[in-house]
Amino acid sequence: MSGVAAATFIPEVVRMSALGHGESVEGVSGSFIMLLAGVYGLLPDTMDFKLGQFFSVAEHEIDPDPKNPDPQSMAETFAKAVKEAGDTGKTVRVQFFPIQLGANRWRQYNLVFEKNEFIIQFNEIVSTSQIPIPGTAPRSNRVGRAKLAYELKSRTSDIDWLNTAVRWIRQKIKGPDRPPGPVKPSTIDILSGTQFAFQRESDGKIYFNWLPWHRTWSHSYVLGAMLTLPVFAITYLLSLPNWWLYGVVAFLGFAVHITEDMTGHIGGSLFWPIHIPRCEGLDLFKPSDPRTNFSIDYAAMVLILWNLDRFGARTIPLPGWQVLSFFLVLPLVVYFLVVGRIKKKVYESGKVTETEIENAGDAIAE
Amino acid sequence: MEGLTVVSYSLLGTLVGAVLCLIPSLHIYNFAGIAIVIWLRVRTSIPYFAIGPFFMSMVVAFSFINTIPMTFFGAADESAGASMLPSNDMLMRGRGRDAALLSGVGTFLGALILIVLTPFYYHVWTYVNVILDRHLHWVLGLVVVFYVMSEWPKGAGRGKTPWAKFREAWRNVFAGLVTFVLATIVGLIVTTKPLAPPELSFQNIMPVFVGFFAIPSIIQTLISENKAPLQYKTGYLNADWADVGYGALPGTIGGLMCAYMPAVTVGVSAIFSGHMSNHRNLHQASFEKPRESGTVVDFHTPEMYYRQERVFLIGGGVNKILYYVGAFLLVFVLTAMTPAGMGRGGLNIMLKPVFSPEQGDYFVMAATVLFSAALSMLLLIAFTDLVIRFLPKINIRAMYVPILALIIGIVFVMGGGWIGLLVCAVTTCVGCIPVFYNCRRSHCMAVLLVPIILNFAGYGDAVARLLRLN
Repeated sequence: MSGVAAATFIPEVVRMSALGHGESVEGVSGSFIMLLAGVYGLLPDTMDFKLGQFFSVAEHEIDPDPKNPDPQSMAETFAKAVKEAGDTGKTVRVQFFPIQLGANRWRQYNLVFEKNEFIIQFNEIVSTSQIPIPGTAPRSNRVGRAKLAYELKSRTSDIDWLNTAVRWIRQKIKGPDRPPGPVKPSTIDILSGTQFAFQRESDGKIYFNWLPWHRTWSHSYVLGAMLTLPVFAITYLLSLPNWWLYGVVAFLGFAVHITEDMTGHIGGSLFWPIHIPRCEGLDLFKPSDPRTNFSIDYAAMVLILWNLDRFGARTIPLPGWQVLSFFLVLPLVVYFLVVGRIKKKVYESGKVTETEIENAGDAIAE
Repeated sequence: MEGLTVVSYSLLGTLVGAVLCLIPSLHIYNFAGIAIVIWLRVRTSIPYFAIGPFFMSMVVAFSFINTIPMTFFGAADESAGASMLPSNDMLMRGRGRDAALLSGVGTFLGALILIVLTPFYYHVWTYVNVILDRHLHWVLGLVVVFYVMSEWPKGAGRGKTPWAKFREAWRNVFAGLVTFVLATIVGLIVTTKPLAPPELSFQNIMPVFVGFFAIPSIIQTLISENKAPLQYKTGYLNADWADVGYGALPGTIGGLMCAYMPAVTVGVSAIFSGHMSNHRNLHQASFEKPRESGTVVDFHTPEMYYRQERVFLIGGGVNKILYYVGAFLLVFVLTAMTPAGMGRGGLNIMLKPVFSPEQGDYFVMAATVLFSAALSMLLLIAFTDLVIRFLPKINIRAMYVPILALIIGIVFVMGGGWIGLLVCAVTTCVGCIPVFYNCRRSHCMAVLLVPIILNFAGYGDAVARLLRLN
């Protein structure tokens, strides 16, 4: 949506998109140029999750038997992969798969990473809504543990010029980085599993790379530019008026996505294939934080409407600063105040237990 | 006297809607079509001003009561995309009553939101309507792009080679794309070449929808081995005010979206609103720290997963009523900028040839919504209690056999005879793809979305000529 909002800042794009724009080749027909911003805006993650992940073939696959899962052998395979990465210096990947027990039933398991130990623990059976079914945790053979030959770390220390630059900007915005914490536990339950890559670094520790296929080649401005070349070519060959704008709008969609992703933790390989390593993000927002998605989407919607009006219909009887103040700034301020209070309350209230189990109610008698 | 007549017809509409909606797989628009035909025959004996409240209250009742067949009898229409999975899950855990009532609370909340938003319709939405009027083709196009591209592979990606992994994971994505393309082709044909006779033209699309949604759901139920267990009944609702708050935002966003945009249904809009406002994540997202140390780490499920289920149902209820009722209510928002109102939806299309809103009708309709919503909520509680009592004795499969016959009869009589049945058979085959390949059923909405987008953009005739449909 942000890519589309960015495209609406180009007045000619708005005019081409409106119905009844007589100068367009279609006469009274409206152009679909805006769709290019939408399609290209979704392309980086589409390429990752629908394509790229299947080309990242892991050296070790851990696919537990649904009928008889063995946590100990799973933990040992993991430890073997860490040792292999440490001993050889090569990148070693491990792929975990989910355990599907039925159309709507999955065996959940946790991966716990301690300093020198890896633990796998099986939990309850969960539905596709991730709701556990009480009393279904295995009674035996529930935990597997394996000692790790090398220590895992969650942040790389072998960084290149681009990562150095990103870190410098991040530290200017947020202050000095906090020391990296331990690798966070991970949970596998429904639909897909997860992949980790291990890489020995100069300090002898293993850099633990979660989803090594994500935000790499697909999140590159250079690739985005290359992917818009067919758009330029086709629109030129079709002799569409303002043919070059189609490619520009497509690139805007792609570039805005990558730029937004850079505000998160993982970052991207911004100049692949010229500069291949993935650099960290600015770590300003967490993707799981609802405030990020809501405020960005809301702002995009308001900006789209504002641009469509000022470059087209001109029906809003207010000056721009009032429109943006009343419909963008003020609602977002109220929203952040309300959500901030809710979040504070949630954290103060501590952990809430399984209401579902405690308030079971009475069975209806036949 | 006029007021009493409006109240009487609102009461009648609510009761008729509530009772008919208990029949699984039948949509209120099927009955609304029949009601319009009846009204056309006896129009002199029914006051014109009672028509709006009657149909409005029917749709309000439908928004509430269709939760019952969707939850207990496994009959999912397109709007079930927003709430079906958790309610089915809860039913199998003996929590069907909770699911139905949570959805009902959301629907009631949605009715209140619908009315509270009145100044917004008159002073803000009218501008949005005028601004977007010349841009709806690409806005709808973006909706399609987003929901097609945002269907992620559901397979785990097992296989020795990238191609094998890709093939295993992509089954649902590929099925979704096939469904989308086939539904588009059906849509281009039926919107160019009407099936129903002219006097029943408002039912032209009915066989298509029955095939896409109703019959595949019936087939699914007929072959399902699932039997609902005994249901629990509690003296309270298993939710708190925070759930209502969390559910209201996505429900309102999604509901306004599908109330305004043609052919955008609850299932489609819920994908957007869920992405935009997933506030359950205010809670810790990962599994919470061990409660006690020991051999077993003893993680426990964060509250957000339980909350997710409740918020999903409440938000789905809000979304549903804003979609069905809001789309019709906006017809009555008559201003200098919107002299023909801003309404969308099936009921609006069906009533358009025989009914026109007038100034001042809005407030009568708003009152009708509140009256019918209050009554429907009470009926929902009563019907739910009745259903959970008799559910163990009901043979769901046997129940669907006469319903299937009834649906086929309605398609034959009102949907264009044998041609209607043939179209229905074809769309049933297409509608079965999402059911059996686990992709989004909303792909079937391409039947309306794509032709509408092309027509709005001014390319409808050109595409029809290209396909030799003209």
